[in-house]
Amino acid sequence: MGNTKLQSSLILLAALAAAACASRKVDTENTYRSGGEATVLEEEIGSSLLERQLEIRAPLHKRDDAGFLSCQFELHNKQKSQIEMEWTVSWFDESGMKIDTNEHWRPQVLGGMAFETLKIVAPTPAAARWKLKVRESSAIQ
Amino acid sequence: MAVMKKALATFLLPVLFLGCSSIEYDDPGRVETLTIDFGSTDLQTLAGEMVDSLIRSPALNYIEHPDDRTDRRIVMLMGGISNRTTEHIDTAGITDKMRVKLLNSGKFRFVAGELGQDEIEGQVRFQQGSGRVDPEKARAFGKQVGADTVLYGTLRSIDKEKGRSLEDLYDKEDLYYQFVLSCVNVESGEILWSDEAEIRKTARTGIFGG
Repeated sequence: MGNTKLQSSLILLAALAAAACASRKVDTENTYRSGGEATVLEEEIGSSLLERQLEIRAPLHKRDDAGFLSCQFELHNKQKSQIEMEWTVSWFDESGMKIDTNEHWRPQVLGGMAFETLKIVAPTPAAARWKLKVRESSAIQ
Repeated sequence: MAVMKKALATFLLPVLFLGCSSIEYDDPGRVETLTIDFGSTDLQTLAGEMVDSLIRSPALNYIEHPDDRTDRRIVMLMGGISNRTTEHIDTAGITDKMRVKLLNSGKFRFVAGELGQDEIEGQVRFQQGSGRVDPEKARAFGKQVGADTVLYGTLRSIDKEKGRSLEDLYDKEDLYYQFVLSCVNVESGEILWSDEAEIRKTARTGIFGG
């Protein structure tokens, strides 16, 4: 009986230790790529869960007088529960070379069935294409 | 048996938990919410939003320079940000990040601030007075480009806390940041552009700290 208790305790401890040592959560991303001025987005779905929850709608593009491309799109939570997510945008020039911007992930909370319109501006006039990446919240906590 | 249990509790448990500590490299752009205080994500968000707004502003597309009509980009000086929060925040981190992004955008030109001017002063004095630089090739004072505009701003916070009660077993904290930045014409004193960025962070702490 005593040995059984000891074994159970050890198993519990091992489980706790494994949980404590578990590596950080790494989320797969969903990517939405613009084809230049086109308003149709190519999708690469890594997280089918997020795809079921989130829709990217109404992408718009506009180049201003100074030559900077601005983009706008709507994030739409298709579910009734709140989504905690992150997004970032990478920019590319006409030839497809990435423009270095030290991009960072931005936290976004979307209420049930909510819309959020996001407007982003290119870091340089050379930017011609963009790639929106979204993932479930994976903040350092 | 009791001795074994004691040994288990005393030695094995700490060893199991401490044994898995590690250091690893991570993405500098990852969202960070370790504490509610001002952090890297807040710095990146505030600087990023202001840079986007400055780049988008048609009022800052160009300015007339009577002495140089070939380059009509605005020459800026990155001024200071007044920290009116209750935290110690190195606001130069925000201005440095903004200057890098604005300069890389190609839309603006920048003149050196206080730190850069100190370096310039030391170097010109060295070139003029050390005897090591060809006098004909030595740089001189009095030829710098003057800034057309200065960027300056204020960072404020409102922090509220609510303790546990019988109705709610969580400690709650709400922290709101407001960052206002303006671009003023040095000659006329006219504010050409101004914008604000906001961040709200909330924290809940349970009885066991979770």
